[in-house]
Amino acid sequence: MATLTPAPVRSRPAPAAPKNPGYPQGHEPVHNYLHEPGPGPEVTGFARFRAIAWEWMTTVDHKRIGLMYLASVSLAFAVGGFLALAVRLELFTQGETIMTADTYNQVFTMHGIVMVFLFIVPSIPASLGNFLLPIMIGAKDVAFPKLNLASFYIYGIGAVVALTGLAFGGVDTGWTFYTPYSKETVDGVLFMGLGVFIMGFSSILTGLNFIVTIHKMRAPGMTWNRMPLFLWSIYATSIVQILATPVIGITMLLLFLERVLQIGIFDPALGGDPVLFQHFFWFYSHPAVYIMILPAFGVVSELMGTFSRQRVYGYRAVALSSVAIALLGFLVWGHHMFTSGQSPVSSVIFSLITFLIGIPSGIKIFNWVWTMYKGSVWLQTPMLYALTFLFLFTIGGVTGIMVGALSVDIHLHDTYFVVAHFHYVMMGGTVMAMLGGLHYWWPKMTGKLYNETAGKVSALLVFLGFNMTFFIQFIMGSQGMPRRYYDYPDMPWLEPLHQISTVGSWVLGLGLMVVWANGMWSLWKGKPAPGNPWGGATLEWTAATTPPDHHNFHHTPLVTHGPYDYNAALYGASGDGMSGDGHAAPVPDVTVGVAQNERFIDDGTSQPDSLS
Amino acid sequence: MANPTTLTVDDPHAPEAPASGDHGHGGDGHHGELMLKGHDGQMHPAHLQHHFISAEQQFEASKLGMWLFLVTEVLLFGGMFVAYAIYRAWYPDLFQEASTQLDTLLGAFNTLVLLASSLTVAWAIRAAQTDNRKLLVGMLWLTVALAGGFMLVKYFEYTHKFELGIYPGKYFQLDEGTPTIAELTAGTAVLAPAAVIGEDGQQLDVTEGASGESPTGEAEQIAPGAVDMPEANPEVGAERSLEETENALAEATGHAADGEHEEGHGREGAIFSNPRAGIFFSIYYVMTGIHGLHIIIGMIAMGILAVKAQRGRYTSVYYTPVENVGLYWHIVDIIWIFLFPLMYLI
Amino acid sequence: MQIQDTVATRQEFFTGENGLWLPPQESTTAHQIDGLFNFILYTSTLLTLIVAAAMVYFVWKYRRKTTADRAVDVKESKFLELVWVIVPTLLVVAVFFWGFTSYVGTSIPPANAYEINVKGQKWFWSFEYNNGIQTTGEIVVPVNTPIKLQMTSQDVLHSFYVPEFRIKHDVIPNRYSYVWFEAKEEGTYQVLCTEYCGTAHSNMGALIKVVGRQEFNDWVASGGGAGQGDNSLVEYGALLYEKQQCSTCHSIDGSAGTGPSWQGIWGNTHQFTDGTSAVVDDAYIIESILYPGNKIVAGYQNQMPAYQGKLDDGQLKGIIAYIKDLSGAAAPEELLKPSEGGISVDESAEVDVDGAPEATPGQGAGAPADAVGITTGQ
Repeated sequence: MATLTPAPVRSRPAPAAPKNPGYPQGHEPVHNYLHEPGPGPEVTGFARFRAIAWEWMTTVDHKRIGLMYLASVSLAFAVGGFLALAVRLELFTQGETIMTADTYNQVFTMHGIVMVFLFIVPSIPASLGNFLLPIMIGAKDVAFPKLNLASFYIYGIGAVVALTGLAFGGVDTGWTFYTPYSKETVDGVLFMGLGVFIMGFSSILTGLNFIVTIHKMRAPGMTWNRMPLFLWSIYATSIVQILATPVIGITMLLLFLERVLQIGIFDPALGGDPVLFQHFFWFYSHPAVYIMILPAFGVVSELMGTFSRQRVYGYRAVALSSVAIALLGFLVWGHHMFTSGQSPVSSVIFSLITFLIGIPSGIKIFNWVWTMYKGSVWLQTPMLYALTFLFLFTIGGVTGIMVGALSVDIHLHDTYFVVAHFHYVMMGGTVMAMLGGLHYWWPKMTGKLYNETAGKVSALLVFLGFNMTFFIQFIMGSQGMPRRYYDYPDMPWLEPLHQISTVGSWVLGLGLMVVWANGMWSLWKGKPAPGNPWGGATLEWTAATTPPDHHNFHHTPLVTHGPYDYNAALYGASGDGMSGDGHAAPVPDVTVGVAQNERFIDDGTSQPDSLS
Repeated sequence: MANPTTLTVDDPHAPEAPASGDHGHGGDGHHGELMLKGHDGQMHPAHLQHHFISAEQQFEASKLGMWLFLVTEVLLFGGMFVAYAIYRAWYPDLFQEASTQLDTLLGAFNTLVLLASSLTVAWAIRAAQTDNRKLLVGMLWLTVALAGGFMLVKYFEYTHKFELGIYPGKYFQLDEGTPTIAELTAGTAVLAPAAVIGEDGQQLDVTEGASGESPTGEAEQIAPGAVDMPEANPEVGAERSLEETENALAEATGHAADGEHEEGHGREGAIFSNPRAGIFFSIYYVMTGIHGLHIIIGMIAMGILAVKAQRGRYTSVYYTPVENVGLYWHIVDIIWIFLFPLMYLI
Repeated sequence: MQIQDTVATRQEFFTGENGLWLPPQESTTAHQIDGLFNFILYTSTLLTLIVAAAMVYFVWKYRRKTTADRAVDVKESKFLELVWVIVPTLLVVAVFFWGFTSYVGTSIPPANAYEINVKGQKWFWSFEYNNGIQTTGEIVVPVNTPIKLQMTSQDVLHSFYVPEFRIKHDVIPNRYSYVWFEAKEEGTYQVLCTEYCGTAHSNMGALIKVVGRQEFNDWVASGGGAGQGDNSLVEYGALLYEKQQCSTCHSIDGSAGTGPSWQGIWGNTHQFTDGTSAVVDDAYIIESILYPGNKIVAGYQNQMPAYQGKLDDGQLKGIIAYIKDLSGAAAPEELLKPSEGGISVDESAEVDVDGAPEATPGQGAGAPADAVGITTGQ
């Protein structure tokens, strides 16, 4: 980050800001959070690098922590992605293609663990959420900044502990750790379980921090009904994180003790019950699915609003459906266990509630689509990803209905159909939304513009590659191809379909490489971003500089209207902003584009006239 | 709805908020509160972190944070309570019998100790609110001491069970020389419920006997018609006598059970005589172990608080950590309140 | 008598009633599941197309021309919102009841079902009929007869899945679960394991051979085709190698597997994990089959299930003969005597004479097991 060129120093229109007297002499030229406070000009060379690195490692600034999370989850995504490519490559031909069965089992397990626990659970909340949440509600930071940094390090420690397992035989249980297999297989399970346990704390603390921040730190005027939908979804996510994660914690602890002390709770040989493990596991892991997808809902709401320049249709329905999904999400875990031997009565109940949960999801989809109605739709890269999300998530949703139907699930359970279904939701949903959000907020976070053409190419490649990889898996699954198969000796006629899927994974990988290259190019060569390139109307665009200052706002913003009042929001660009990079020209300060709507109060000590 | 343009009053931080406390911005730093100058040129209490608008906001935020953390604690133990409930339903007889191995008297004593510590910690919060530093420090240390007492008793309970060979799960095995539960019931019957539960009061007596009274006499009491009572060991000590007592109890009830065999306890006997007896103790060790871990964490936290309180860190203006640790301590107590009857009594 | 593989397992795509989407319906209950599947498939395809079409239309119709573009204020329509709450609700409630009724309809076995016990273990299925017939890796069942499989697991979780019958259920240690089916046509159907169970999870298959009732009765009368029949000992061993699922872990071409390859091991010295060693001879092989945990070859795990009580002497002899044959070793004459008749000493001696010089180690690489048996035997 230290290599970034400083963004233009911005001045701030009325009311006049104090000149940051809090900083020591020689540190006054405040650029933004990426550079301030900085080691000072007298420190050079390696000492400078060390000072900057230390400053980042010990920062309690939610924006820096968000970026560090972003870097971490991106790395995890890359690792998990390469493992996925290896899995697909192995299945390219029958029999052994590039690895043995044991290696394959380890690779698909690591793919699952890395993607679920290291990438997708923390992905949007911990990176975008951390960065944006305080800014969006007009706060200087989250409620517990030190705890926030601690969460990041706990996540890191958990990841290291989990990966230590690779040195102890790795783990070949699948990410679900089903007993009794996980009890008797290699010792790596010990470390993976412990790592997941530790990372759970990170997740809990992040969620706790967010809930408290949203409850207690909103700027004056930021009522619940004026909160951006992204925050509603983060709020719902946090509830799930707090209520569900302790259960996976205790489950992993019990599994750990099961292996070490032979306590016999999950081991049928000692009188325990392996199905109980599944109940425990899915009591967390199904709500965890909503930890993964709810933030994506929030991101897509923002994107649909901004790029349609239209209020998100049915704001209240979209907001409350997030909370409804979060709460109902606790009552459906049993639909992962229709064939597991749980009682048929519970299967029936779980199936019914599963269908009920489909309704709020459906409401969201229709509302998002309708948001474009009579709007002004701008097909920039983030919007392309948002539309990709809508299409793929719809497919993911309706196939969810299929596997939620009791009798049909008997046939489809644990086949590629399920694999395709959850990839449509998790990757087609969460990852698409995250990519869209990343492009959308990239200028805000880095102060640089990415290349729009490259962005669009990447969106196209990702869309094509994704469908090629996973749609074919619906067909394979319905034909009976079981998941977690190293080989398909009994179904040789599936080979061409596997090959299509594998080729699709290459296209998908290529698209993601383009995204990565575009980001790197932007950091090195990207043009400075204007304050509000998209004409966004939420506080991070209208009341914070680009990139934001260390304390986000010099003055706590006073919020007087809802989050999607686009007619008042101005574009940052001076031009029409329509042609490719046309909006990239550096522009004068536009950081308070809605100044006419936005008044400022001075840290709560002076009060605006209208309120006294 | 989507675009309300008027401020609503329900906003918690509406600008009137800072004015509500006598220790907000620009407060005069009473009670010796250290004041610092923030970068906005305003005076802040030293404990007010820069990102909060007011001390109220900070206090409410930490308290809400603590409550949410307690929710996660409840869910953490909730998982284990579910496991307990399920296995109790699966193996009711096993649980009933195995729980007789726990010392109800010590459990009850520990319950009282924890209840007392709840009182002292609440008292400590009150002391902080009334700026009574001496009382605050005293109460915190007293709480630590009570928690230490609890852990000490727990230590003795654990070591005694280890001596008897009562380990969790697979390793569950009563000591050699002591008749194992498996041996007691070998091939025949469970400890007959009538023989043990019917004489519940006397069984309590036995544990009292452990703390000093004659073991043999007590055992005879509960073992009407029992034969071959073991001789009291010459080097009878308190712990030794407890073990002897349980030997006697075990043998006695074992014989009693033999007598009841014809009445059809064979099936339960099969459950009890297999290694699954360890499942109760698995749950016992895991739950009390994790609970004990929480006690230790609480002791550390309160020790730190006490040291800081000694230095005058907490006043009626700022005592958030005391309040939060107090909340934590209460939840630890409450969990024990559930553990005690589930493990020891029923 | 031996059931012939007259109907091979499905070898191609698009053969089912639903073409692309589902395998053929071969059980009497499959159509109930397929009906709901198709209903959801068509409804959701329609729904997805509507959403996609609306998206494309709006994107084109309301595309932004300049940044001066402003959205037209859209009043929220209660009616519209009610429509997209109520319609999906009705749909999913209907789907739920359909799924619920067909679940009940397909999961309760008829009272007169023919019961077979199934045991899953790493990594094969074994079956036991009520009259004592034991098979491994395949079962023979009569057509048009409800069959109830009473299942349990020896070690970890498995799941019993037959795509053509639309049945699946987890197989759990210390518990019994069941599935049932009634096959509509004679044929051979593939059983798959769908609960991940370790190294050879994807090879844990079995075959269900559905035959006519008469043929089934004959098969039962013949003791389940487990005897040596007309085969030579080596052929018999090769057959058992497949039938007893030895092939899951032990290769016959020298390639690595979960267990040591059988090729060329006769007469070798095996090093064990406890530091001892032994020559591979009759006694060692028999011990390894019946009590595999006694001696673990260095470099391998103790994973093989014990076959004690599952194989009779004749079967053991067949396997020994087959292992010898794979090493090109001449089997001593007394071992070649068929245990239950059906093959003369001369014939098997002929096998030996013909086979021994040709079957040098390595020659059998890649050749299927039964091919070896047949070519050398006849």
